[in-house]
Amino acid sequence: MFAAFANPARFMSLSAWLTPVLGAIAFILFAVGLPWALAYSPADYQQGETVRIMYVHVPAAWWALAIYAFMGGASLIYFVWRHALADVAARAAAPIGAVFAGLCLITGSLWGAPTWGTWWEWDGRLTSMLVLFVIYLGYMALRSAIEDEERSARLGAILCMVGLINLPIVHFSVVWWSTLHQPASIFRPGGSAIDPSMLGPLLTMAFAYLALFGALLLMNMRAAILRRRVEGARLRGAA
Amino acid sequence: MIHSGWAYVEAAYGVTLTGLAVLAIVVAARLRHWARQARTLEDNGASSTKNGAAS
Repeated sequence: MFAAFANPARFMSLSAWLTPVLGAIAFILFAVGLPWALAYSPADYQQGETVRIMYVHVPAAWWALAIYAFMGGASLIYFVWRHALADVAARAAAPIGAVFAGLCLITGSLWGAPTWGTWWEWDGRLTSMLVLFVIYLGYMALRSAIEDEERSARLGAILCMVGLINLPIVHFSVVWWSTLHQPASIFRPGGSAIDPSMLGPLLTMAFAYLALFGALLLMNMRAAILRRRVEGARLRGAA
Repeated sequence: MIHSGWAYVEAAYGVTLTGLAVLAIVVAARLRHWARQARTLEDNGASSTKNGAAS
């Protein structure tokens, strides 16, 4: 599968049918997950209705981290093997990861105001998540600022790989420091601490975000490949 | 228990759905733009090849 995707021509034909499939899966999962999260899941005995923010906040946080890990892997592949499609994948994933990280911060703030009594607190989890968001923006700014594609890809890959150091900090911040943010309640030793009536909509929304990411990533990659083809042809025409 | 939390829930879902919708629209518009440019280039290339062959 990876070998098939590694060839741009084969990638274009595979992604042509895979993109609408992922888009349709995302649409169906959102159509199921949103009413489940907003109407059919119970309110929390302490948080009340605000617990429903978790269904949009937690998937945004998970995938913002996972997308950055994906970008780091793609950057490493580009840096070691100089595979152009790996660079296209890393660059295409960045704006999606940035939006997910931004949504995580905003929805977290909207949950924190009624629950903690504050919109923002400079604790380990919130600050490291903000750093992740800034790294996303920095990566995109760097890639746009350098015209030479190869240099932009090389420096972007280095920045992305250096930024990977922030991922364990985000994940373990609630363990390492005494933070306002609660510790992990799903990915923890001893299994999930969330009631199945809340875990169902949460996982549905998480897979909806994942399918949406897949569709948008493929669309962004297709656009980048087409742009390179067009610009390459124009340069050859001008020469 | 926290009462009257719906205002925060509505704001969170509003921001999320708007953000995701705007992202999807921008990505789709970008893909459409470059697909159109590539098609125009292919059409021009095909017509110039035909013209070249005719002359």
